[in-house]
Amino acid sequence: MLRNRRATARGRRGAVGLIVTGTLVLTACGGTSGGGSGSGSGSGSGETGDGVLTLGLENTLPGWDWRKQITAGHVGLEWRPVYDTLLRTNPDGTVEPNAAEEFSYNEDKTVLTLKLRDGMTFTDGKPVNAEAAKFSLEGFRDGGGVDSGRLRGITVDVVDDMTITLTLPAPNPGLVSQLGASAGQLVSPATLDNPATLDTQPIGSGPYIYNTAESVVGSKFVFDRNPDYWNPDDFAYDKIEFMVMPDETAQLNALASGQIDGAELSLASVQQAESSGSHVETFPNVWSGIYFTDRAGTQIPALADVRVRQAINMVFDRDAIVQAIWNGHGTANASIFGPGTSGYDEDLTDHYEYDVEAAKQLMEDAGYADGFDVTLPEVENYNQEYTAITVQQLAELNIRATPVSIPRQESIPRIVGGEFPMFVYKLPVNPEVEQVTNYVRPQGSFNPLHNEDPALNDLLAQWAVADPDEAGDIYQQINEFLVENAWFAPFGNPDVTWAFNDTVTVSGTIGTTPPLYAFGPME
Amino acid sequence: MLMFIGRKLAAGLVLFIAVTFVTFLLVFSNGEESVRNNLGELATEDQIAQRVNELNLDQPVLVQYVKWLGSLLTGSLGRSFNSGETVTSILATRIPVTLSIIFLALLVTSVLSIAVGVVSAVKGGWVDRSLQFLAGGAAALPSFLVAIALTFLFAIALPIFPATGYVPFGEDPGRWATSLVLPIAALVIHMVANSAQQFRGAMVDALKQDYIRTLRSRGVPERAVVLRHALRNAAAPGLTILSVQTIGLVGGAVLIEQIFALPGVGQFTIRAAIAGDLPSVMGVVVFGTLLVLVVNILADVVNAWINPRVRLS
Repeated sequence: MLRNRRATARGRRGAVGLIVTGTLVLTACGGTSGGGSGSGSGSGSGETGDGVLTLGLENTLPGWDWRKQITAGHVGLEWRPVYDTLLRTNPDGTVEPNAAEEFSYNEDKTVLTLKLRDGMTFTDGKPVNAEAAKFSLEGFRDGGGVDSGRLRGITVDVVDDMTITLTLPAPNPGLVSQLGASAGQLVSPATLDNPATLDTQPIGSGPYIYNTAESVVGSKFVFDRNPDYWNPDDFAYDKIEFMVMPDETAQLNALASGQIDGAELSLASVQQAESSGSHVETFPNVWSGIYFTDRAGTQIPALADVRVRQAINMVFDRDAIVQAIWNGHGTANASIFGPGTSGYDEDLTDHYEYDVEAAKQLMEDAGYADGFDVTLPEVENYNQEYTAITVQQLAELNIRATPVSIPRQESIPRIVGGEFPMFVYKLPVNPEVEQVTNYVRPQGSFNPLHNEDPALNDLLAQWAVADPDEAGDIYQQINEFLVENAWFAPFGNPDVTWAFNDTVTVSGTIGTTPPLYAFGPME
Repeated sequence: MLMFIGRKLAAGLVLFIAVTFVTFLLVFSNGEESVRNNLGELATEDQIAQRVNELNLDQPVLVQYVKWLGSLLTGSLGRSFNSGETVTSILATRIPVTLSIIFLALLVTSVLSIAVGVVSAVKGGWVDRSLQFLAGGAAALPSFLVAIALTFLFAIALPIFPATGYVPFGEDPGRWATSLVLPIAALVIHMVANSAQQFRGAMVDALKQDYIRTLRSRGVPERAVVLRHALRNAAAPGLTILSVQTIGLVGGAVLIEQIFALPGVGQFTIRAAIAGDLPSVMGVVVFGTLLVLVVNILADVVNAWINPRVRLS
């Protein structure tokens, strides 16, 4: 059985960001800096708390149909009380048993066998068994939801009443971490019997039951503890309320006046929350910086020259960005692997010193002393501050960058469509397996022009079939390759920040989203 | 009077069709892009094409509009692209919130602005100057700042009212009222300041008229002169301002709903627009257009009722 799989994904800070567009699939598990204990649970366990947990969240899930649920952002928290998942993905990237008590791959990592726990039931009384798991997985795969691609090409077979196998077209190290996220949801096969209630009355087997009477669609979700849940000890609260508050002022006011116990805040609001008595937990689980999409130089030949990409890495004063843009709430990092993930290497974080003169020399050596023209997508309320500083710093190298304003809902489709040779964004760093899956692999969705390199392909081939225990070393090698070849020009890791009153805290986030079990009473 | 109302309704219908048609063209001209956003970057071209087909987005926009208008006549606004719920059921939960805000804000504004306007005009002197000064200051205050200040004072420092949230009237009328005190206060301060100045100006003009002097010379009590005769004539310009402000209130409500986390139409509009949820956007447009039409017709009717000259013109 596989345990402690180090899946990675990088945390995303999409906070306000990608959210509603529902596009970003990258979800994120996020290693907390201390790393997780691997097995076991989050902070929610231990205490048997009997209180109510009330959180202010910025948006609302798109109805209860499990096929539409996503892992990223606050929506990725909202379905968690109701729908149990086959596996559990932890912020440190490890994956462990959950509703499936055992999981293991065959030798060539193309068949995953999952054995379900005995005795679990859905809230309609039907058993959680192999048929139900097959129904849930196939429905999700074919449901056309934003995350449905996570199961594309996978076939599900029932082996016996409590065992299923997933057959993969090719090894996919990220699959198990997905089964601890939206793709691993379990729903009763009766869910589809009545299309009219599909979006209003979820039938799951999760730790809580949706309280239809007390909830208000689009503004308040209320959940009561599920008395039949197999693992109640990991969830500290008897009742959970999610209040939908798109506006940060509303969240701050509700927190200060005691209406909610906690909310995710932007870095600009941290000080205000602290001054009104809240305590703030921070996690380095997103990264921001420049993504080069045209590393082969098909649109801008200069970008094919590693010296040009290295020079771009050298014109950013990362420590100044931490102070000026993130108000000191973050860490400079020239690599895309975040603290707490196995690929993280502290020596690589300052691989590119801020040195404009040396950068100019590199440009001259490469034959691009006069720079080039490039357009950068600028997304309102999302990457404007990064785009502005990028335009300014690229000008040091005579690179004429022109921001093109695009609506947020178009940003991801256009970026992953390969329209921009480079762009500035912020995305999750955990679980790190997602980083490699989405940004690095030739077929990754954030590698739209399918850049590849023979040396990197060798590493990716090893990565695809590595056992979790050995994967750390491969991630380190991938990280080294990416930094030395300047595949990206990361600025660093702005903190993901959650603020709470003095009774509640959270132990970790995956991207910006804490797992539900991570909420618990203050020690 | 019936002819008068009939003319207004006919004009309203034409306006309604014009507004919805133009918005429909704007909103639905790029339906495929909206589907793409909804399905995410991992969606295949087949999935997108299938969904576009399911939603009839591959038909000419004109055909789509006629179908939409047809289903509107049967009381259907279609289903949200996002949540799959019917747009009418979503709006049914949200319109009461927004209408509560707009109705109460209008009521409070009318009462206060007439009172302040009349007192200013009648008393004159330092009372007038003080009220004018206060109104000038209040008119300059943006409502979001007022909202933040009020919340800090009366929800956080002195926890009298809830800082955020809404309680439906049917659930608990008392808590419904307290949940709306701060939002309404934040909205109306600005409006009262503006409307009161209008009422004051109109009252001052009315009180200078010859007929007022005649009434006074006949010994009609001052109270009757002011309230029955002068105010009635001063009401028309005040009402016009109020109806314009009501329409402005819809915009103000969007902001206030955000700051106070009220689950109204404004909050929903923002979400629908960002998510490319076209049927929901159209539902909101229908609501907004109807609201404006109703308010305008009501203002005209009330105006005509208190002032016969308007009816005849």
